[in-house]
Amino acid sequence: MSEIVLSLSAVEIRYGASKVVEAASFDVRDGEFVTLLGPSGSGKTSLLRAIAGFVPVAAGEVRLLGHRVNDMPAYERDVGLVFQNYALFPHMTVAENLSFGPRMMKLPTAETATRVDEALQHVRLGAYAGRYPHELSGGQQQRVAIARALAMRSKLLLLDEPMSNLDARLRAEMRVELVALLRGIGATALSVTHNQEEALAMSDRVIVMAEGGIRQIGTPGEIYRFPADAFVAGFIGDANVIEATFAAVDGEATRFTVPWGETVRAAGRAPEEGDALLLLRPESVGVCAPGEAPDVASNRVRGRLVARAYMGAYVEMRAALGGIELVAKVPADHASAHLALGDDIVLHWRPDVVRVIRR
Amino acid sequence: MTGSRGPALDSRLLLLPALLVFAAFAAALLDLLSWSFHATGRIGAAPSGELGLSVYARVLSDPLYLSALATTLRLSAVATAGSLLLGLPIAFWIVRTPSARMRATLIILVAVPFMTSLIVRLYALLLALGNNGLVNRALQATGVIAENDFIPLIRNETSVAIGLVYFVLPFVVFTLAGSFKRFDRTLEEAAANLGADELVVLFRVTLPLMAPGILAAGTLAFVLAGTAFATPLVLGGSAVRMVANVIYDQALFAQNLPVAAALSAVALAFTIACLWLAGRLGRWGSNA
Repeated sequence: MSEIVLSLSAVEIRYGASKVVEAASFDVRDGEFVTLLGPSGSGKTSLLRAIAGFVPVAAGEVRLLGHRVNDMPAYERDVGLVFQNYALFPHMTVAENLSFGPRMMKLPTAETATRVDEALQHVRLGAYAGRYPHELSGGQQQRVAIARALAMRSKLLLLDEPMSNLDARLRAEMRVELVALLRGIGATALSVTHNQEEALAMSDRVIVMAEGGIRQIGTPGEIYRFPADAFVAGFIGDANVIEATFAAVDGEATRFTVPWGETVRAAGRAPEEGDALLLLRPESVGVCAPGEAPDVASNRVRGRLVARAYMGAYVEMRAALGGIELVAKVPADHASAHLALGDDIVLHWRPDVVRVIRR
Repeated sequence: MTGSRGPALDSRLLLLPALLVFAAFAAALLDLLSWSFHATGRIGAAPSGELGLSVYARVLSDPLYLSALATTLRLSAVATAGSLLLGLPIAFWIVRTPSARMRATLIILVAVPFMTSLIVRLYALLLALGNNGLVNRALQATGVIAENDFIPLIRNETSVAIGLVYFVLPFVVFTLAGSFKRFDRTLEEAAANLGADELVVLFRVTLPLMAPGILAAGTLAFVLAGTAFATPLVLGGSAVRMVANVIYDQALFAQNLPVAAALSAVALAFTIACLWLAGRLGRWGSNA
C-alpha cells in the first residue's frame, strides 16, 4: 500500500456559529488524483482552503505526510494550490511568478532557474517566460498557475475548480492534458469541483459531499454504479429514483411494490424488508411499442410518451405512468426513437440494472 | 440606417452646453494669463505697460513670492505625507473589516466633515487649537504643560499643516479605498501559499499592486493642498501665506494684476507638472 500524503480525520469547519463541514475523514495516497465533488454550499471549497491553511479547523485533524498541520500557518505548509481565478501576480512576468515560490524557499539561483524551466516545459509555455499574465489567454494563464504550483515540488497539489474558467472545448482538452501531466510526474492531487463529468473523467477516486458532510467515497465507477444514497444517485448523472416497498424474495431477485401498482424485480436478495428507493439509470431503460416483446426476464411497464428530446447521440423519452414519470435514453438511430408523443409505449429493463438504496 | 446614426449624433449634441461653459472658463483663464505679460494693470482698467516677461522675472526673484512658493511646496508635502499616513490605515480598514458597523462608522467619520462647510470646520479647528483652546486646556489638565502656559498652535505652519491634512484626508481615504477595493485578495493567499510570510506578502504583492492607487491619492492630496486658500487664511492668518493667498492679496489689495496673473501661471504650471509626473509614474508602475 502506497504512502498516505494527506489524511483528514473528523474535520469540522465553522464560520462563526454555523458549521460548514462536519466529520470529514479521508486519505489521499501517493500518486492519486482525488476529487471533492459537490454542489455549492457543500463545504468542499472550505475543506480545500482548510488544507491550504486559509481557514482554521475547528475540530479534528489534518495531517500532511503524517504531520499534524492544524495550527501551521499557510506559508509554512508545503502544498501547491491552483486558484480558481489563477491568482497570477499581475506585476510579475510568467518566469517571476514561477520563481516566487522557489525564492521564498531560499533555493540557490541555479536550482530556481532549473525548476522554472522544467515547470514551463511541463505546461508547454517555454516561449512565454517573459510575458505578463495580461498578455496571455485564459488557457495559458491556467497553465502558468499550474506551473507555478508545480515549481514548488510540493508533495500535494490542490486544485480549486481548475476548469471552471475555461470554455467548453478547452475544458475537455485540458482535462485529458492535466491528468496526463500529473500522472507523468507522479503528482498527488486533490481537486474541488461541482462538475460531475469532470470528477468522473479525471479522478482515481471521488469524494461526494453535500451539506457539509461526506456522502460517499469511491472510484468513479463505484459512485456511478453503486450510489450510497438518493442524493449521490441524483447528483452523479441522471437517475430515475422510484419509491418502493419490499414485497417478496423471488429466487435470486427481490420484488418491490412500486407507485404504479405493479412489482419490479431487482437482482439480488434484499438484505432487509421495508421501504427502499430503486435507482434506475435512463440509459439502462429500453423502449418499444406495445406488442413488441422484450427479453422475458425484463421488468416492463406500459406508459404514455409525454416528452421527447433529441440530444444528438441519444433521444431522451419521458413516459407517464401511474402518477410518476420515468426517463429513458435510447440511441438516436433506434427504431423506438421515432414513437410519437401521446403513444402508449413499453419501458423495459433488466433486474440487474436496478440499484436498491435503503431509505 | 438613420436609426443607428441618430443616437450618437444626439448624445454628442448633449455635450455642447458643457463645452460652451468650459470654453468660457478657458477664455477667462487665458485672459487672466495675458495680464502677466504686461508690466502694469489693475482690475477695472485695461492692461498697460510694455509687453514681455518682466513680471515673471520679478515674481521669480522677489524673496516674498519665492518664500510663498516654498511655503506652499513644504506644506503640501507635509499634508500629503500626513494624510497618506492617516488615510492608508483608515482606507484599509474600510475595505477589509468584516464588521459592517465598523465600516459604516469609519465612512461616516470621514464623510461627515467632507459634507460640512470648510469655513465652519476651519473655525472649529481654530477654536480647538487656540492658545486657550481645547488642545491647550487638555495639555494643562493632564500636566503636560504648566497652568497658564500654552503651546502656540495657531497662526503658524503647524496649524496650517493640521488644517490641510484635515481638508484633504477625505479625498485621500476615498481614493485609496476605491483602489484597495479592486485589489484581488486571492493574490495575497497565492503568495502565502508559495511560502511568503505576512511582511513579504505586504512588500512584494500588496503594496506594489496598490502603488498606483497610493500615487493617485498622493497626487490629489498634493495638488489640493497646494491650491488651498481658506485653510492658510483662517489658521495661518498673516503669518503663513501660501500662493493662493498671495495671488488674492495682489489682485484685490495691491491691485497688481500682472503679478497675480504671473503667480497664477506659475501655480497652474506646477499643478499640470504634478499631474503629468504622476501620470508618467503610474504608467511606469503598471508596466513594471
